[in-house]
Amino acid sequence: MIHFVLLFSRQGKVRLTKWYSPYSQKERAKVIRELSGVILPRGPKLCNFVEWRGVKVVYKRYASLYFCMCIDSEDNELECLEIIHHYVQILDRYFGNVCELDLIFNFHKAYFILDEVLIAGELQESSKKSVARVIAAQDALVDAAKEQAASLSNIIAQATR
Amino acid sequence: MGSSVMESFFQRSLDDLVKGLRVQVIGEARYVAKALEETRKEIKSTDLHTKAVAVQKLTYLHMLQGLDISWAAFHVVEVMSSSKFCFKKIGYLAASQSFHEGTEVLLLITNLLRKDLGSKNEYEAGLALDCLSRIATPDLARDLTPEVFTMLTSSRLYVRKKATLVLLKVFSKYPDAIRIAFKRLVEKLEDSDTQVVGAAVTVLCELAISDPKPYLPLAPEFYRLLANSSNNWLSIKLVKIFGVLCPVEPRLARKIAEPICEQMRKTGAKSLVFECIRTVTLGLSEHAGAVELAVEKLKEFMAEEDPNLRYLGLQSLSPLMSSHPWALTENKLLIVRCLKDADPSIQVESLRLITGMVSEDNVIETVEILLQYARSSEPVFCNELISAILSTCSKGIYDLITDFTWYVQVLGAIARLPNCEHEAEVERQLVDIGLRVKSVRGDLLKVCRELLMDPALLDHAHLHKALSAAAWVVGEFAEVAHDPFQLIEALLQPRTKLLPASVHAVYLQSVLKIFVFSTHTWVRGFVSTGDQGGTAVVEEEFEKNSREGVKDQEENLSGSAGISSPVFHDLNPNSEERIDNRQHKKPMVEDKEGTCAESNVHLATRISSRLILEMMELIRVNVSPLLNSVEMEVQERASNLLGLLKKVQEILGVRNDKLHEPMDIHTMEQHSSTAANVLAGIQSIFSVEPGPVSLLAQSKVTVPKGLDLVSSLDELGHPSYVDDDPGTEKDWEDGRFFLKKSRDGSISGETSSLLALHREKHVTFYLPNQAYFGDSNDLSQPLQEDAPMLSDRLADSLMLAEPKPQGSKPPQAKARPVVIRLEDEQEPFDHPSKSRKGLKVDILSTTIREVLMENKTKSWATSNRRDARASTSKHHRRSHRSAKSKKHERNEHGDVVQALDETIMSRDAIEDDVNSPQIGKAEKRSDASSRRHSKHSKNHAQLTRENREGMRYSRQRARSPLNIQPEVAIIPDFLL
Repeated sequence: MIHFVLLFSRQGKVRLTKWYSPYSQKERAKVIRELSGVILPRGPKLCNFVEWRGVKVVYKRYASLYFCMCIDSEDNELECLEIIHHYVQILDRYFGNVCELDLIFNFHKAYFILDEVLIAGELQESSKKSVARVIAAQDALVDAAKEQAASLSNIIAQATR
Repeated sequence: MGSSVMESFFQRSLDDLVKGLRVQVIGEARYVAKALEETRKEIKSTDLHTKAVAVQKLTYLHMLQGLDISWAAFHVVEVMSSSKFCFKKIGYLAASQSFHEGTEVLLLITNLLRKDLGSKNEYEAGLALDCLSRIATPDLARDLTPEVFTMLTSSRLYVRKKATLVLLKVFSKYPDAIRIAFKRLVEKLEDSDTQVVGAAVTVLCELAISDPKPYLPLAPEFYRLLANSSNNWLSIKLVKIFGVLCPVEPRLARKIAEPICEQMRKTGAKSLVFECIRTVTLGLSEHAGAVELAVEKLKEFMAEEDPNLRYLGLQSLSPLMSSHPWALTENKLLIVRCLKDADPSIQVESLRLITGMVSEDNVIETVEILLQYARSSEPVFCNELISAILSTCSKGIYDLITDFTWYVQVLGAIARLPNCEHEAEVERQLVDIGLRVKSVRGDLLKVCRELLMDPALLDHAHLHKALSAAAWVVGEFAEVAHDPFQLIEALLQPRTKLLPASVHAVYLQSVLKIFVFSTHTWVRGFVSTGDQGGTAVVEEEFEKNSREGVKDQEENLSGSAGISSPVFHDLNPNSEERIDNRQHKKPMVEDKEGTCAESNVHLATRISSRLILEMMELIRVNVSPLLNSVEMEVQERASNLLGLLKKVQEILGVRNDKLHEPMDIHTMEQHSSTAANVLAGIQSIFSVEPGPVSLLAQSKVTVPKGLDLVSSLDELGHPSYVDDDPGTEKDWEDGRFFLKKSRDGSISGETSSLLALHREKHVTFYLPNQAYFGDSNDLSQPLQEDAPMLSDRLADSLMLAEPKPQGSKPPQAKARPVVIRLEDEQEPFDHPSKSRKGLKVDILSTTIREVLMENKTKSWATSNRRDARASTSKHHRRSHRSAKSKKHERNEHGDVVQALDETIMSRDAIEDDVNSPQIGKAEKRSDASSRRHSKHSKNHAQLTRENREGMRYSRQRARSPLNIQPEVAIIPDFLL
């Protein structure tokens, strides 16, 4: 299974973290520090796998962002690379030519999309279309709720409560 | 209240926060602290919108900075419980990011989660499932299992899929859930939607990895799925499952080999091919065809441009190392080429394979290649290579090496590598080989001499350890040196000042040894070639004996390396006295004596009197300044050396002020016969040959009489003292018995049996039955009577130092030099590697095995097991509300478990059925029975249950003869 997903920029700034196995706050910080230290200096022509503390970390760089996933030693590295690519493609479709800034300003959306791709550290949906549909449906729900909350009558109702 | 409206108007949104963070000028930490302060206020707002935005901002800061936001947990729960989806979503995200097992509010959210899991809105249910998969605790998992269980049969695909995967987390937190949900999970393998099937396979795959055995009965299902799968994700998981199942069931491997090969041939997806390869290497290594195909594919991988594939190709070869060595040798070229790959992980991987391939036949070739790469590699990898060479070649007791001449040259070459960081190991091996392999000493000396003579090497601090070993070797084995003068010159070269004191001291000690050796040889050569032929013979005899006398002497000194001058003075009369007593004794070290004497004669012809004179002068000039050295060790050795030199010069009548006077030489030669005795005595100090010491030597040392480790500390009454090593006390007791015997000579019956036991167990550190000193009782007897302590210690230390004759390696067919191997010496790396399976067998797999195997054990275990189960069901009763009425709760739960049991049982029953809709049948039957029972009243139900149990019991019994071996996993015939 996937133990965690980590996105960080070329400067080592964290853009997204998702922990599927229990890590304490301290451990999380340590993992991020160590892994960015291991992965960032690696050149472009090296393989995308790092053996690290008995587990394997699969990473791939897209533009200025590194996508890392940590998997068990018996897991399939190539499959994991494909999961990363799958996620990136879905992000790309959703944001339309996704770039780092999209993820910075919509970090919650990056999470929501990730939650539709992975659950409990496993791939849950291999169809990009399904994910896009589900995300769109949820966005509609959110918008509807927001509209309702922001409507003038609602504000008045709140203010005069 | 207007204030909340104002708050929400003036609140900074997430966008504002992010933008502000990017353009801030006050420093990120300060900006974050400020923002945090703001959110702290906002989060207390009564307006949900304000609160939600605050929570969202907190989540962001939490992710970015790893801030602790547990203080906001309660507010997060409030946002989670909002009825508006947009807020709920924010709340759930915050919860799944920041909550952990220790978060207190987890106790409060059980009902919230339960409500949301049952929500009509599938996305709300999805949020709750996501969150549960992240934060599940045993309690949460237990309480929510019924909800997840219900969701497995939801009509909405989205919910079904998520619920299936969440089972993985629920099972791991609350293994008892398996009893309830396992059957439904298996049913999901036949779901109409491939995503759900994939989810179920994923869960089963994860479970099977930790303990494959219980899942063998599902093999036909997996087989069917694999045959029909068109989805690579699914195929990968299925192939992986077979990879873990095959090693436990060889018959399955036979069946599955062909389909796996089929997958490998037809698919274009590298990930699937890779998974197949892995399955073949792990589970199908018996099948030649499959392995050949896999190796074929691996070859393609290794030849690829993509470093990922090269890396994985190399990595997958290693499991084949022992079972199919041809797979490696066939690809040797490719593997060796990877040594110079740009990627360090590929280099390391290929190095691992290469060292795995090393055998006696190719060790030289391989090491030469590695050495060549080491010269041209980056420092880090260079050291990897060096350490690989050193550890491979020293494996066992240098098991792989037949040509030690070559190997000591390799060691010399390694020591000279500029990046070498393993000098300590080189040092150890140089000395170790010197001690263990007699026949290579000449070549070893040559290598060491070259190291010592190169003045440039003294500059490199990393070489000092190797140099110290080299210096020791030339000193110790000076007898095989061709040119002692050259050695002394090298050891005394001016640049030795650069050495650290400890190494310098070794240098000086070696000078001492070489000097003594060469003067002694000269004297002997001179005496024996001269007209006093008789003297030589006498002297030879003398030396033989004195050598043994000296051995005793050395033990008394507890083996000090630096013999100080008083000893030297004492020594002579002492050993002379003993000669008469022990004329008749058998020499212990005859071999060494023989070779040594032989080479001495050779050397003697080369060592001229003039050379000795020059040597003395050289030592005097170079060592005198060291008398003022600040380092005590160096100073002391220097003064020893000079003291000895002076003494020898005195005896020989050489004066320091005049150099190379022919008269000097003449007087020297005149006094040579006087000097012979003295020099022989000194030489004999150094002539005891040290042996390799076993790693276990320490344990052989008996605790001496006076040393009372236990009671004295007890007297102190220190409360914190705990003797946690039971062995110490026992050894001490045994030691006391031992000493008692030697003191009294007689022992009581009980103690004697104990003593006999002990002697049997620790033969090695008892004196042999015939005393060590053989039949010369005149010496050994008084020793034992007067000082039992001494004799013990003597025996111990002799046993430690002497190579054990019975431990030496059985003679080999090929001409490998004798390598001394101690009896109890084991290969230090012989630790059983931790197996993954052993680590992973946890409570989860135990439960699964219980669930899956229950029906079989039942026929033996009977009623108390039933009781246990009844109590479990009672335990669940509360949480197990579902569509059925409360009245039948207990009964229903019983049915779930029962149904599962029956499924498995019916599988057993129709083992020989060819097709697999067994589950369907079983299900129908169990459903029918549950319906039937739910009609009865509670009391009646209980009665019937008893009845049913009885029925099943009898049915089991009827079947039990077929079922004699509970361990054999059942696989339907069509597979086998």
